[in-house]
Amino acid sequence: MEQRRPRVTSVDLSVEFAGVRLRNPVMTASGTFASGREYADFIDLSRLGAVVTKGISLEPWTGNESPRVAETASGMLNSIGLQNPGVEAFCARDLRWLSERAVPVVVNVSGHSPEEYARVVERLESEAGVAAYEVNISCPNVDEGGMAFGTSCAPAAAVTAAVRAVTKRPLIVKLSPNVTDITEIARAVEDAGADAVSLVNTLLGMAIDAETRRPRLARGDQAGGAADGVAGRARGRRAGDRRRGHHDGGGRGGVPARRRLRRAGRDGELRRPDVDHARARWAD
Amino acid sequence: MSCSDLDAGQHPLLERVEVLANERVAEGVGLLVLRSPRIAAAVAPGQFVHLRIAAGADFLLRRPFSVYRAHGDTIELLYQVLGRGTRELADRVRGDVMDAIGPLGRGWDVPEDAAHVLLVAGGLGAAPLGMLAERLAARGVAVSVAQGAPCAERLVARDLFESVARRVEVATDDGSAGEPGFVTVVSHRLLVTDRPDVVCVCGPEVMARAVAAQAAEAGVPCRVSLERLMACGIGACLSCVVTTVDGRKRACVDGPVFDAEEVCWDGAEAPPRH
Repeated sequence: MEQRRPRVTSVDLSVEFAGVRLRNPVMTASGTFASGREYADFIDLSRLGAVVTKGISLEPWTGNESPRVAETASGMLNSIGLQNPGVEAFCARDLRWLSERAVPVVVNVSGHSPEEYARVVERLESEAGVAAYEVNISCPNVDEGGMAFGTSCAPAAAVTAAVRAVTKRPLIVKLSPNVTDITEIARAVEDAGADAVSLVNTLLGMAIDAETRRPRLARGDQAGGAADGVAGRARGRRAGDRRRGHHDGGGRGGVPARRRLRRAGRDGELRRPDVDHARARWAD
Repeated sequence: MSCSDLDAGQHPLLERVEVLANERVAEGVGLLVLRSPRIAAAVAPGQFVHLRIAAGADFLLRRPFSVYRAHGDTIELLYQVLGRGTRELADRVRGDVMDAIGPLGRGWDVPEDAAHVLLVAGGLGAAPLGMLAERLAARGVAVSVAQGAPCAERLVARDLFESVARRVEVATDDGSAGEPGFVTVVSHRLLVTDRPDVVCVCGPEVMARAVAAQAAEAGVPCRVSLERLMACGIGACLSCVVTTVDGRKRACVDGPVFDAEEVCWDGAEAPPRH
């Protein structure tokens, strides 16, 4: 077992985010880190600001058919389909393990209807090891023809309100960049009770094989590369329209975490939680 | 070499590996020899390494390669030049350094009391079978090999198989080596005549599926090594799933070797282009 051990410094990188005290501003992007167990051979989880888990639904979701991934210029597309074992198995297996790791746990929540999101959170309310929820509103709304909740204000707010009604824990809503004006959605979820927003989820994309002229991945979610610029704009617009906090989500471009940490330590400019995104982690 | 041996085994290692040699060994196929003492000491047949081919943003994802052989301080990988990553890999020269995660995955599960094992290799599917053939022969197991390729120029691992197997039979699509036709003709014959205790298969999924059906008909246990596009390689991202009778499993940690009876073949996919 080999772990990367950077030099220990005495710089205080702690931040308070949505009411949760983090020892540093590095959080894992949901879906890139499972529930952390797989990475325990490589890093000490307690050195993270927080672990954001893979999206958890009420029942087990089997996810999409293969292929599920394609590399793109400086980034990747994925089409996992939120495969997960469901909240019961998550509590019994992953959350129990995670709660022994001395790191705040943010559970990412998925659903097909506002009620389903709320039921997942209700089940998690009885678990002591949850510091906050991150609600993924990019899931398809099955009652409305499969359109993602997060692409218009009313369904985004409906999901947020449904979850808010069943918890007093910090509530982060992860916004989709696949919208015309992200600030409208941000205001809608804040008004419905979100404590913070996560910017941003992945961009819709397609990868095409120029030789076969067929899709390598017909419908996927782009992370890294060009997604960084999109996430940057979302943060910029959000900053000009800000009432509460935000942190960077999985679709953002991914500067290796250690570099961001160095930068934060040097000039103290980094005040929001940052996310060590898939690109940096899977390559490093 | 059973699953329980693997379970008892190691956590994956992150190791800086040095290129000792990188040469073309068949049409479009390279053999990469890496100095990788820790992975070499830990790897079991059928396991793989996840290789970071180049630093920087151009190659975001690592590429998984079965370990073809492991001796002393070195591991050997066979790769077919198919896409950007493997083209880049072909340019690596002696002295270059990369980093590798390994050994990863569950390898071949061959019962301790197996006396005779049939290996069926299609094209570069020979890669995860090389080390298995060597280790089985070393413990006195009779090894037969059925090997197929499009043509003689694309047959790999012949010397290794010839040196350790009791019998090697070849089929090529164009008849330029062995008998003309698919490897399934050969594998069927060897299943019937040799009555192996277990069959280990790697190759195009359509071939693996056909051999699995032959083995089931002959009542012989069959293991298949499956290939999937991968991202993390350690079980976190769920990119590399295989549909099984017990739901979707991860090729990187639950496989890449599966019991053929648990695989739902209708989920078979086209071979990935790395």
